[in-house]
Amino acid sequence: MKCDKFIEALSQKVKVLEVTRQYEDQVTALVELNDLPEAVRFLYYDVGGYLSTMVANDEREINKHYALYYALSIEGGKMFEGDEIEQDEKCFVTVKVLISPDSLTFPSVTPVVPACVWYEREAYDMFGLVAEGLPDKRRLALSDDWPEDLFPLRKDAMDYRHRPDMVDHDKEPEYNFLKPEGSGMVELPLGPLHITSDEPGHFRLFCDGDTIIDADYRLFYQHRGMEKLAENRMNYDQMGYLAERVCGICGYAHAIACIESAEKSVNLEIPARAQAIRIVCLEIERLHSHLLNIGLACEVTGNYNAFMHLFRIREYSMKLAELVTGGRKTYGNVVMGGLRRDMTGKEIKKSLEILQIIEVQVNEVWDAIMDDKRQVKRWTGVGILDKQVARDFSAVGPNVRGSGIKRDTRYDHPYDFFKHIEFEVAVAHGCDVLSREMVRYMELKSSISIIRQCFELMPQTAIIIEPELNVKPENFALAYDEAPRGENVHWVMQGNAQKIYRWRCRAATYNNWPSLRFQFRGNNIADAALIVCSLDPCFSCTERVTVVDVNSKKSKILTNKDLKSFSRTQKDSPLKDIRC
Amino acid sequence: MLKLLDISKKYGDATHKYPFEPYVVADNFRGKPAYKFDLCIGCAACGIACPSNAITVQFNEDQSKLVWEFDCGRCIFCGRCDEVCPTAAITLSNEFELAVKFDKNALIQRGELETQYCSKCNKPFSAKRLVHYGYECLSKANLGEKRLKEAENYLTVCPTCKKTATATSFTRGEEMVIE
Amino acid sequence: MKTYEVPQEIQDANTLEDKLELLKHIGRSFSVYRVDCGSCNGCEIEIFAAITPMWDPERFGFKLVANPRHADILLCTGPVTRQMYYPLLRAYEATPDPKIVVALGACGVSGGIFYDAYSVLSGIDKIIPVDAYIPGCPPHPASIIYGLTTALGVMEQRLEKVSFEEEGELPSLVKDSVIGNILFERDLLVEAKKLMSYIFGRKLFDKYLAALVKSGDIKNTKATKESVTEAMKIEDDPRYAECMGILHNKIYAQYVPCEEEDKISLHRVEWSKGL
Repeated sequence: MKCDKFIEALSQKVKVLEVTRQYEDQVTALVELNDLPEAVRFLYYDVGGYLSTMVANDEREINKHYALYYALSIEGGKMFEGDEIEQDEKCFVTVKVLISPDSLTFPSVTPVVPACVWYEREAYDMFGLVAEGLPDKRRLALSDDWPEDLFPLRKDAMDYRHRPDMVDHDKEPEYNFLKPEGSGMVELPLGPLHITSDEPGHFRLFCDGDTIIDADYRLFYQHRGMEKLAENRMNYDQMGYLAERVCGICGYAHAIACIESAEKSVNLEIPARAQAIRIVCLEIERLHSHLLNIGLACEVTGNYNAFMHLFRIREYSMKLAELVTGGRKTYGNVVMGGLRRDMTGKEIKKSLEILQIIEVQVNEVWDAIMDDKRQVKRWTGVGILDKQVARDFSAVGPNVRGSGIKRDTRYDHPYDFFKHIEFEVAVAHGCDVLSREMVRYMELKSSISIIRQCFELMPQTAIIIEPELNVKPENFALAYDEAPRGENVHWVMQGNAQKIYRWRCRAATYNNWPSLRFQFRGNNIADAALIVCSLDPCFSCTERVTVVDVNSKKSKILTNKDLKSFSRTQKDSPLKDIRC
Repeated sequence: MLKLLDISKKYGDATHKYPFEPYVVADNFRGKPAYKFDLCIGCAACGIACPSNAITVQFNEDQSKLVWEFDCGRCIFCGRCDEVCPTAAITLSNEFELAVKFDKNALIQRGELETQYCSKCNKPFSAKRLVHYGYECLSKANLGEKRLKEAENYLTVCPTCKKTATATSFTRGEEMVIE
Repeated sequence: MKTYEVPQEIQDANTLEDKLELLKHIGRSFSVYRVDCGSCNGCEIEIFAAITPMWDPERFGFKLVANPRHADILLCTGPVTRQMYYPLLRAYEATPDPKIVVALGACGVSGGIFYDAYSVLSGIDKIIPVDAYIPGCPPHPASIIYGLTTALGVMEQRLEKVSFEEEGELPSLVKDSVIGNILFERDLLVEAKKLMSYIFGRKLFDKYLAALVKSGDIKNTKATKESVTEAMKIEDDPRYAECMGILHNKIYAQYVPCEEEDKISLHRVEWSKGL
């Protein structure tokens, strides 16, 4: 069976106490607490995995312990040609440990696998689990005025409606930013309300003159407490609607991942037609999201003309969404067992017409943008994401594909109808903003072709099947899909009474944030907004609160590399984005 | 640069004329749920299905009425209520012009339904219309005269009394009959 | 829980008269500052879409500004997360008096689906006084333009509170069954919804039932097969056609015993007019 090979290899390294299989491509290995860093490091670097998600869970009701699940997507390191695992052997291996409620500590994996940093800080925030050896132990997700000893996701901590008192609004607590040492440095705050970014997030840029030396950021201004809400108020039928509202742009991808993880944990296979339409909707979402991002990347560099054109075209993709799901956001469509809305011949015909318009016009505008040397120059060499940094931090989506790593969930772990679809993974090697936008443009084209293929192969089955909800509590599974920004991973553990026990939602941007400070370094402050934009961040996706920690070991090596690409001054900047 | 201007020229004026001309949304657009009070039977299926609890169905203070209430401000336009409503009393319309000024109460729709009291314990448990609807369904479902008569009795008994009656007759070893 | 109390001097400068006076002056030119109080981003994107040339609100003088100190109107979205509570208040106090506050989206109006979660404060109007509400999840750009023009008095408000207190006569809600057992219709509708979802499923149900009734003799399997096949042939939409066939084979055959030959062949070529 799939995965067995890797479990075998893992048991050579550390003592594997128990192996359980959740789904055909998902296994979980329980290891000793002290072996945790070695087990994760081995799978990550030696076998070739990327960190998909890490879930902390309060399982005291089940086995009197807290549990941690480090889920790794085993697909190969992909650092060079051939550094990839066979297509039919790619799978998910989860390393599980149990933590006693008396000690509440576990050895941090971050020193050996930097990608774990946010996850481990969040484990403290939500459960009070302390990662020993984690370089930065500041709180992550909760607001600054949150009581020190209240851990919301512990089952016995509080009611999901409990709202601790706010402090007086003049006395808002200060957040402790990490500053580089040295004199003559200018500190530049950006946000949380800032005109160039749509959503709240606070960035501190540390500058020497015009050049960014380092950056720190506090996000999670939008932590809404969804995971607790889902555990308490929602049943399976309602959960999808909550998951959609993780994010207003890639909401559909969240709903699919969330519902599919629930489906996978009961081993439910949905009808083929529903699978195909799910993919159609996902690709429509990619269309409008990428058009938005390319448009914004033009806008922050002052190219309003192109921005307006791209938004004009984007309206067609919104029309498409309205046609297929009944609303401009692809909301309100997914339920367990299938979908809530079919496509008749009329819809399909109209969609094909709209797709034709989008394809023609996108090509025209993109050619015009690429013809504009000033625009291209403004994107080139800015916000370099080094390939090794991308590898270390498990970056996802166009961000990682722009750095030459061929990571795409649709290709690595084909889900739903993707088994029947042919498409090329878009990869660019420049590591800069231009490469990321190129990747997005190529994906626009492949999305259009994917939607057309789906229509052509549309199966004649029902749209929904009655889910058998004789769920077994404590069963869990993870589900994944490729949102416009990269891989979304949701993890669901079944509970009693039509409710879930634990839902962990890991949005694409969550994996992309930690490497952002490396992208900032050495750039002009005028490019800061562009760099953030090229990440296509989705603040609300990330949903909790965080700052990136200094990873002492890794950052030393990487700083040197980053300093080499120092100081690319853009003299022809049409717009000064940052108003100091 | 100039190429973009050519494109602008090619596609011309793209602006929608709205609000000076009406804007037409797609077929089956998910707009504001329209409530038809005359068809509502107070079954509360919509209230249970609603993910954001925008629809509530509960008794008023003196329990004389079952109040159905919908707050458009909290509605997320998912259409679950439309999907589950057995009588099409609530359907999603095409309406998208929903803004209100100063008074948020303008977003509320409500309906008061007569309460059905239990024929055994006289406690309120449902709406009269729901009982009536249940009877109508049964009368068209190929039941015999006698069974229909029995069913009519069952319908006016509250769930608690039904449970008690079942338990009593079960312990006595009798076939359960509610009169 | 104790939250923000609007200071007296702001209250005094924001009476209804002051606001109406302001609205009179800014009728054709107003500056809007956007505050995202933890929304899912859907509303932000729709605001963005609404300010592009497709909708072009500058026709009415709508202008997004970069600083609350320049703003006449605060456009607030999101359920107000704890962490955005403070920035929201900073923006509110910085806006010159009198100020108009608009709550946008289900979350902004009342907290939406998050209304009782621990990390949100359930809507803008729980914190600061709100003058106009634009529901929607997210609102359509047309709704946003409608909302803003309504707030300015260009358009009329459509909605008002509706309350029904007296029951009328309940119309007969259950139609007679075509085959004398309403369970047939029930199963048919359930299956139709499974095949084509609730919206199209209901249409399919009607179409199929019409075809069945047209046969004249519903218990006659030969007649119904002919009549349904005929309906499938004249149906423009291949999806409805194939689903009518599936319904016939699956549900009708349960209630009226059918021979294998009375079932409808679902091979697409037989009736498809091509996509």
